[in-house]
Amino acid sequence: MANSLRVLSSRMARSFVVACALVAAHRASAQIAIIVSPAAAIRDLTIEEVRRIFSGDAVTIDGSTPSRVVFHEDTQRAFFQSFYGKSVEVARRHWIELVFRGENTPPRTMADLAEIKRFVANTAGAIAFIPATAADGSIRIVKVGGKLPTEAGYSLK
Amino acid sequence: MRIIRGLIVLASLATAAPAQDTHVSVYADIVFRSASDGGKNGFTYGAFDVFLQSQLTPRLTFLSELVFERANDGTFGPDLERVQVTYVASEALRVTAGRFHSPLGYWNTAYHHGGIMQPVIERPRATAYEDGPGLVNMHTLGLMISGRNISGLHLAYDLAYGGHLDADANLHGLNAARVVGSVYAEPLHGLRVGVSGDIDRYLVGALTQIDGDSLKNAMNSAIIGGFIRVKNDALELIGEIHNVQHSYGAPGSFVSSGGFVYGGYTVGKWAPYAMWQSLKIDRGDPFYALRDTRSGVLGTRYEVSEKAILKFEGRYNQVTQAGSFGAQIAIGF
Repeated sequence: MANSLRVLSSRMARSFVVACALVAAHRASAQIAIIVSPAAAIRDLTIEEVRRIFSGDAVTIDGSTPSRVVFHEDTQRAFFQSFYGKSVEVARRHWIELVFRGENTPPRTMADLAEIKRFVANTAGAIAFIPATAADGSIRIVKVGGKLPTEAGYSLK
Repeated sequence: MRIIRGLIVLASLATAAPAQDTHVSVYADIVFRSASDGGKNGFTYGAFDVFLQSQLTPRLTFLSELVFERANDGTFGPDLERVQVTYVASEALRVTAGRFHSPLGYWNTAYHHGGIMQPVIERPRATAYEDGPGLVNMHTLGLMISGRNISGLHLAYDLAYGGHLDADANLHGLNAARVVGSVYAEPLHGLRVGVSGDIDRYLVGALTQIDGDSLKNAMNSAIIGGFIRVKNDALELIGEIHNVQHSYGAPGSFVSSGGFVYGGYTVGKWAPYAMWQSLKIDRGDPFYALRDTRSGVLGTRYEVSEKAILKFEGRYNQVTQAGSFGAQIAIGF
């Protein structure tokens, strides 16, 4: 009887772990991660800081390091629609105006996730948004509002 | 020929430097005007604007703007509007050297050129002193320090020291220096409120805005102004005012003022807008060729695509009781 209970509890524990992993994977699959170089000092950004960096209204990622903003081509529509409530075309127009005024330098748009991660990993001040599932050890995921993409309440979907 | 030479130089610059993140954009517009007061009707060039921006190092950027436009003498030629090198030390400190837009009010730095971005066909008269008469001088050649996003109020500042033109040029502000600056806050997203000012000295011989005329007495100029802008994806409201005092030796002091309010609202591809502007010029001031103005603009923009905008607008000047119609196609790519 005790043996059966041990086997049952062990199976339940395994199922729980698998379920948790599935939930986390599902969350991550729907989330957008903000990534920087592992050498960068920042680990956490507020929602307002993310908003200002990717709208071009801030020129640094941490108050002192000039930003090199990268848009992932396939994610940009979802990113601007869900996070800013605006189309990527409107966001781009705002960027064009800022660049023309001399307020900022233009963002890069890249389609290849491997290329984005390589650029971010090797460029001081580089910051990008990519699908959370594409993140790996070559780059660092920045917490947004104190949360990682796998955590409940994460704001970038 | 000058235009072709200029374009060849720019094209070679752009193709020679892809490794350092160089971007070239072109803005152009064609305007149709029809006036009820016997003025000239028909099509005119707007400006052909070649904009170049390059990231030289992570902290160092270069920007230039070469505009081909009609000069006062009627010729169409190049005008180096801006050439500036900026070093970004931090969010709170940038240092810019070169020729840049004077930080006076909101319109001058936001919508100086690039017809596709400017919400109306012609800029407000208060911000038009460049190739034609206007209330305040819109360019500075010198040094500027700037900061953005300071504190939770998102305070920002620009403070510049320099002259209107090349110190070797025997034109406006002959060997004179000006201090011009602006401070603003963005307490709410999209809301900007600020003040700007300018202290300037024009020496004897500096050109006035009256054709062929120059100053007989040195002139001290002091400008103080304020501005507010509300902007979201659909709505844009701008209000701006400048008060100018010109002080001479014998002729005394003269105070003029001017400003405008603008409102536009985007619905789909259409953006109807209205603007009201007013200038009150001291008639005794030997510097200005301007006259009092109270005029309104009603119009609409239509977005043909991201790279092309059409504008149609009617204007009415209450002082001269003259009306006009204008249309513009502006492109940018």
